[in-house]
Amino acid sequence: MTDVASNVRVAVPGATTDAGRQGSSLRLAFADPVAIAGLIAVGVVLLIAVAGPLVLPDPNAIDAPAALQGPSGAHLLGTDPFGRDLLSRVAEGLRTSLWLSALSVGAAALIGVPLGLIAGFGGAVTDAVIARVLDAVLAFPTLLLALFVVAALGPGVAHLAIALALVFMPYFARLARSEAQELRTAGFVEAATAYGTPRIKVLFSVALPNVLPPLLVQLSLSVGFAILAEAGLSFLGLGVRPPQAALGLMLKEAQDYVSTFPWYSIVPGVAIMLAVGSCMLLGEGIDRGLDPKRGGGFRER
Amino acid sequence: MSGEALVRVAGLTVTARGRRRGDDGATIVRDVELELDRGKTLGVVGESGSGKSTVALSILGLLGPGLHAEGSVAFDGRELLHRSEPELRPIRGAEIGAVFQNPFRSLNPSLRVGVQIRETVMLDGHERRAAEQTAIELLGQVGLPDPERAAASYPHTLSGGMQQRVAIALSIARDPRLLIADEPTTALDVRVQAQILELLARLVRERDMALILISHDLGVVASVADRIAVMYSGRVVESGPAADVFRSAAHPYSHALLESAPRLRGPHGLAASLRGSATPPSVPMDGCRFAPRCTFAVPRCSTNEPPLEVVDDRGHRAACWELPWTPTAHGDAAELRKSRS
Repeated sequence: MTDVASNVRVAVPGATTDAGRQGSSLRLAFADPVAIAGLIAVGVVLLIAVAGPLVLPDPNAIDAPAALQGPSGAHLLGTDPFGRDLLSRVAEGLRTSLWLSALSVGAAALIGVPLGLIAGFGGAVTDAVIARVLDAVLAFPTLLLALFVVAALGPGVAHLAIALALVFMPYFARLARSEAQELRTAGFVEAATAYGTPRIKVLFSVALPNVLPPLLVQLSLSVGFAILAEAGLSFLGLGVRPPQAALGLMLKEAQDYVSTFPWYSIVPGVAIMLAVGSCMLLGEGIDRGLDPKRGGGFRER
Repeated sequence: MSGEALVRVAGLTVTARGRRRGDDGATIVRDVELELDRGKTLGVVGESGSGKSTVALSILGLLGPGLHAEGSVAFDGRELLHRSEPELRPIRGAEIGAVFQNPFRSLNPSLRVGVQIRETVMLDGHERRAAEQTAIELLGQVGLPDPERAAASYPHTLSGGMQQRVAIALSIARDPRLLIADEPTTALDVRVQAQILELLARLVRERDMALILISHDLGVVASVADRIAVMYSGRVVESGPAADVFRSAAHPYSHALLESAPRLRGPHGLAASLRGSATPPSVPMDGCRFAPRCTFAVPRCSTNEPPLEVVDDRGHRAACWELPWTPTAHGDAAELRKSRS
């Protein structure tokens, strides 16, 4: 048997006998250099957001004489019109943005993925009903729909989270549905049925692991878009409200100073760019890692 | 044949539903009869498209949504046809296991082998730890040299033969009384084929399990099976004890199948081949479906379809108007070959 194994193994693409290198598809996902760069970028943003409040000055400490200053030793990124430390406020804003986005995107995935799987695996009627509802939600521009929802519910962080979850949910459902449609005819799904696996288990313990890699890409891209959406809605005054720091809110306050103190606009602007960009980079990297045509995935390494 | 058969398929007819109303649809399998005792092996042989897989899927209740089965599939005295999904679930896996042709397709690429077997074992309500242990034992039983390591592997890191062993471990994980193996060796190379057949034969012996072995290779089946059913164009054309069918095939088609196997020894180096191709079962036609390719067809063959008739008292039956058909009664083998070329 051993010698048969060593002979036949060659025929399997990407086969490796080294137990230590036997990677799951998730590990392959993070093998791409772009994915690693994305991970580092997200890590830096997370570090600023999480560790910032611990080491930086109070973001709400007003120091009027020090208002509208550029970067200095006391205030690394300068101060706003109230003399508040900009770096502290950016860190606070990032933190708000990140948890809000992560929470709403997480909720979107938790609702969207099962919905998509049920649609993809279910009968024609179930699928048609779910698909049409999703299409209806998708027909609205993302930001506009979020705006409607917040306008209807009233401004506030919780309502913003609900709005974001709602607008991102269809993307997850659509992804899961198309994956499920492919998986329902897969040999191992039929085999699992033949072994007597109940339908619900086929969905969540047989099919779901195969949806995880593309889901990861969708998750990180969506968090990026959600940060952007959050900033936009806060800018419009529909999200986070002062005095709490939020990146969109800072941009809004900075509007009045664009000509006199442009630095005030640049700092939150760049922070948004970094936060969104790092999520996009991570998503792109994972996507590349999973794509065999780009040299990742299950190709011989 | 003693006592009540474990599997009794009678008058099984499978049709593909017509797209329009009033359309009767195409017949894929007609009037199939099979019988299998406990602990015995039945070989089902036929070309691609002869309906052998459809018969297997009918027994498992896994026919696609467009297919409709009629007749009877009795397992251990219980009728399986027309059962709903929830009614079939306690039987699938627990009483009837299945091994499919392509092992890589039947394993989940995203889960470790051990996890897949553990989850299947746990369907019977075992504890996680115990199930993990059972999974490793099963991997050992199917002849994997290092069961612990195999359990921790992903399917794509295993060879084709090892994958098929894993698939077999999965199919017997719930200790079924019947195993249906649909072309389990077709995707494998010849040496591994023999090992897998040996493994199946051993498991059948050790576990007192019945086996339905489906193959297009009469030789493969003859080495393992107690009984053989030969299918052609959706019908069973011959069935009987393996030795009888193999040694004295009663139907010209079975004979041609045997003749078409390449031989290394003997006067004829080249394998004889059948003229033309099989009529798909969906095409309606009068008479014996093999008649257009049969060297020995008489006028009656193309007007009336022959029934399965008893050849001898050991349960050997064949569907041919010219019974008892033997190649010598119709000229010797050399002449037979000449007439075909």
